[in-house]
Amino acid sequence: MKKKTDDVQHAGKFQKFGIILAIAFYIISVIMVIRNYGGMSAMFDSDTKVITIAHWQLEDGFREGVNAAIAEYEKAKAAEGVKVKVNQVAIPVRGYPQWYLTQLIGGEPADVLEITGSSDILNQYFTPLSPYIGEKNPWNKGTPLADMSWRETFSDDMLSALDVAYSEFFAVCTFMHTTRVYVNLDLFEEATGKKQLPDTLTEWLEDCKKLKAHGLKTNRPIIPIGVRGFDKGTIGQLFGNYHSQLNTDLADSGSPYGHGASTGEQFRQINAGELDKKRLLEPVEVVTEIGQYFADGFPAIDLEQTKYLFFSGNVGFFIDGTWNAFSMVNNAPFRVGVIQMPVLDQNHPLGIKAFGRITELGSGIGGRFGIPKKTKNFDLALDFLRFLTSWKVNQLVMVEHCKWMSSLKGVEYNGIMKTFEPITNTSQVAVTSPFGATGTLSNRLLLQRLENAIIRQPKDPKQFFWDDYLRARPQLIDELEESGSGIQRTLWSMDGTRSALAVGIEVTAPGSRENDLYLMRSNINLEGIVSRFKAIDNNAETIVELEKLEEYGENGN
Amino acid sequence: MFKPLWIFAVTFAGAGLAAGADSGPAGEDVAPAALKAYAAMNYTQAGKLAKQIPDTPEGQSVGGLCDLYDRSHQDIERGQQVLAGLFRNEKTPLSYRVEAGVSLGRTSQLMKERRDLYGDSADRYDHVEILEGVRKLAPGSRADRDAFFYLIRERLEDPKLAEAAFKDLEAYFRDFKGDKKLLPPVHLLAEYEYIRLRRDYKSAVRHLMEGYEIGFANPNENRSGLFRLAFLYYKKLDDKPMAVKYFNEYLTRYPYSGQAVVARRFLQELGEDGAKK
Repeated sequence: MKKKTDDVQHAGKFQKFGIILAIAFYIISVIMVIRNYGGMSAMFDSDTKVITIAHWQLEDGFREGVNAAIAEYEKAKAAEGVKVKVNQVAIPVRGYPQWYLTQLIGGEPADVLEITGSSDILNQYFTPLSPYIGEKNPWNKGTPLADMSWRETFSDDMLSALDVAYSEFFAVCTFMHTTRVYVNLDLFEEATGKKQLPDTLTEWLEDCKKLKAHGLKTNRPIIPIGVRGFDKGTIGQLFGNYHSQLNTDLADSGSPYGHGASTGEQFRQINAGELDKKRLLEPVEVVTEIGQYFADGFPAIDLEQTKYLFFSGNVGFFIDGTWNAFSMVNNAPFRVGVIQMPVLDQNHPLGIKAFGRITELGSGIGGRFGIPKKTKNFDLALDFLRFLTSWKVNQLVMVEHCKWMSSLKGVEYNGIMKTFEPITNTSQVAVTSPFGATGTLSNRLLLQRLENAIIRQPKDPKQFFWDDYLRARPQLIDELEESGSGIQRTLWSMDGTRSALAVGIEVTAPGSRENDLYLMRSNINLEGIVSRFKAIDNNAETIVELEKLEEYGENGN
Repeated sequence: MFKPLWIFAVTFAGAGLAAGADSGPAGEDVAPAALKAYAAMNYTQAGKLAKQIPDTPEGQSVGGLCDLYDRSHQDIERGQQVLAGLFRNEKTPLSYRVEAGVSLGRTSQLMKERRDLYGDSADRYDHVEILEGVRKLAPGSRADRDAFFYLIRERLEDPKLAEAAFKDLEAYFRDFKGDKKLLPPVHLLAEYEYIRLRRDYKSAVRHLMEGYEIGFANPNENRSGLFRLAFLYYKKLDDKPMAVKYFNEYLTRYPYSGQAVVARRFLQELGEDGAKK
C-alpha cells in the first residue's frame, strides 16, 4: 500500500515538473518571439514598421557594420518622422541555402535577403529591380555619386547583378574582393632574415625554400605555403593567375570576333601550327614548381584547417580572398602582412616570356542582396537597400567595419586596405586557359591533373599534363555535346521569356514606364540569344579542333 | 497600441495558423489577371486563371503558352495544338494571333533542331510558313522582328541559302518601317554572322556601329560592343582614327572596367597622333 502511495506521489512530482517545464518553454518562446520581432516597442507600437535583413556573412566586422548602418537608418527615418525597426539575421553559410529556400517557400521571408540559387528561384521569389535602378539613389545626396543613377554608382555599372537568363536585375551588389597572399611576418623574418616581402616569383620561391629549411633546422612542422587543397581552390587561383601572366597576349589574336581568347580558336591555331601548345602548358610548370612548398597531404586540407594552421604560426604564406583579411590580421597571434600574388619576373626561366601582373578591375564584385516578392514593406525594404548601397553608408559597413572593399565608385582606401585594391597599373587582362574552359568536368579534371603533377613532380610537367589531357578527350567531347544540349534547353526557356515579355508589352499602356521596361527586357533577351548562338558555334568548333589535337612533341598536322 | 494579430499568434504559438487559401480575381477581372500573371512568368497562377476562362482567347492563349513554357506542367503537344488553332483562326484578336504564331513557330523550330529528343513530332507544323505568316500579319512590329530573327539564323546556317539570306538581312534593315529601337539585337546577330561566315569585317562593323548607336539594351552588351567596335576598327580594318575615337569613348564611359587598361595600351600603340594617321 505504502509503495503504491509512493508511486502516486512520484508520478505527481513528475507531472508538476513537466508542467513547470512546459510553462518555462512557453515563456521563453514568447520572449524569443518578441525579441526576434524587434522588442516590445516594435511589437506593441503599431506605428513602428519592422523589416529584416538576412545574410550568411559571419566574417569579422560584417554584422557589426550592418548594425551600425541600421542604427544610422533608424535615426535618419526617425528624423523624417517614420518609426522603423530593422532586424539583422545572420545564418551560417552551410545552412543558408536550405534556410533561404524555406523562408521563400514559407511565404514570410526577410525583407532584404542575400541571394543565392538559380535564376528560376530568383525570378519566382524576388522583385525585379530594373524599374528602380535608373533612378538616383536619394541617400547619395551631397556625395560624389549624387548625380548618377543607382546603377551607375556601382563600379561595374551593376553588370555583376544582371541575371542574363531572365534579363533582369533581382539584386544589387554590396562589396568587392581580390585575392591576396597573407604573410606570417614573424615567421618570415625569422626564417629568411629579411624584412622585405617577396614581390617576384623568384623571390617568393627563394623565401619558401628558406622557410622549409628553417622548419627542418628547428624541427618545426613549417609549411611554406598554406593552401585550400581539399577543393583545390588555391591551385585554381595560382594556375589562372600565371596562365594570364604568361599568355595574356593571346587575347589580342585569340578570337576572330574581338578581343579575347576562345577555346576553339586556340586549338585551331595549335592544329594549324600557328600556336605552340607548350605556351599554354608553361603555367603547369610554374604551378608544379610552387607546389613543392605546399604541405604534405595538402589535398586533404580544407580552408578552415588551413586557417587553423596559419593561426598556429606554422604557415609562411596563405593565399585567400580579402574577405578573410580582417580576421587574419586581427586574430593572428603574430604580425600579418598582405602582398599581391608574386609577379613572374625576368630572373625566372619562364619570366622572359611573361607580361607582368594582370588587372583586377571590374572583377570580384559580389554580396548580392534582393527583395523578396512576399515582403510586406516593399517601399521600406527598397529604401533600406538604397541606404545600404549609398556612398557613405556602404563605406561605413564595408570599409570601416569589415575592412572589405565597397562595390561603389569613388571610394578611397587607406592603410592595409591599400593592398587590397584591384591592380590597375598594368595594360593586361586575364585570359582563360582552354584546358578548363569547356565545362565543369574539364575544370575539375584540370585541377586534378595539376594536383597530380604537384604530388608526382614529373620530369616534364608539360608532357605529363598534355598526355593526361588527351586521355580525357572522349569525356571532354561528351561534356561539350551535353553542354550544347543544355544551351538548346536554355533557348527554349529564353523563348518562354520572350513570350512572357511580349504579353507584358501588350497588356501595358504604350509609352508607360512598365511598357518601356518590358520592351527593354525583350531586347536584352534577344541579345542574350545571340550569345547562346555564339556558344553553340564555339562548342561545335572546339569539338572539331579537340579531335585533331596531336601527341606531345607534334604540333599541328 | 496593441497589435491583436500578434498577440493572437503569440498566445497560440506552436499551434500554427492556417494561411488563408489563395483567393483570385473573379468575373471580368480573370482575363487581365491571367495575362498579367503570365507576363510576370508566374505560370502556376496564370495556368490556374486560364482554366477559369477556357472559351476566351485570353484563356486559350495563356493556357497554350503555359503548356509550352511551364516546365513543371509542360504539355507541348496540347500547347502547340491550342496555339495552332488560335493562329489559324482569323477571328482571333491580332495580338494573341501573332504571339501564338511566334511561339508555335519557334518551339517547332527548336524541336526540329533536337530530333534526338523530339523525333518528328514537330514536323506537322511548318515553322517557316508560320513565322513568315506572323511577319505578314504584323510587319514592322516586335513580333515581326522576333520571327525574322529566328528565321534568318536558320537560313544563314544552310550553306545553300546563306548567300540569299545575307541579301534578305540587308533588305530587312533597309525596308524596316517600325521602331528602330527593335533593331539592335538583329544588328548584333548580323555582326556575328558576317564574321563567322564571311570574315567580312566591314559589314560586321557597320552593323555593330548601327546597333551601338541605337543602343543595346543589355548594359554588358553596350560596354563590350563599344570595346569591340574600337578593337575591330584597329585590328581588322586598320582604321586608326575611328579606333582612337571609340577607345577614347570607351575610357570616358567605362573607366572602371577591366578592359580599360587594354584600351589605354591600344591608344598608346596608336600614338598620340593616331587619329590623324
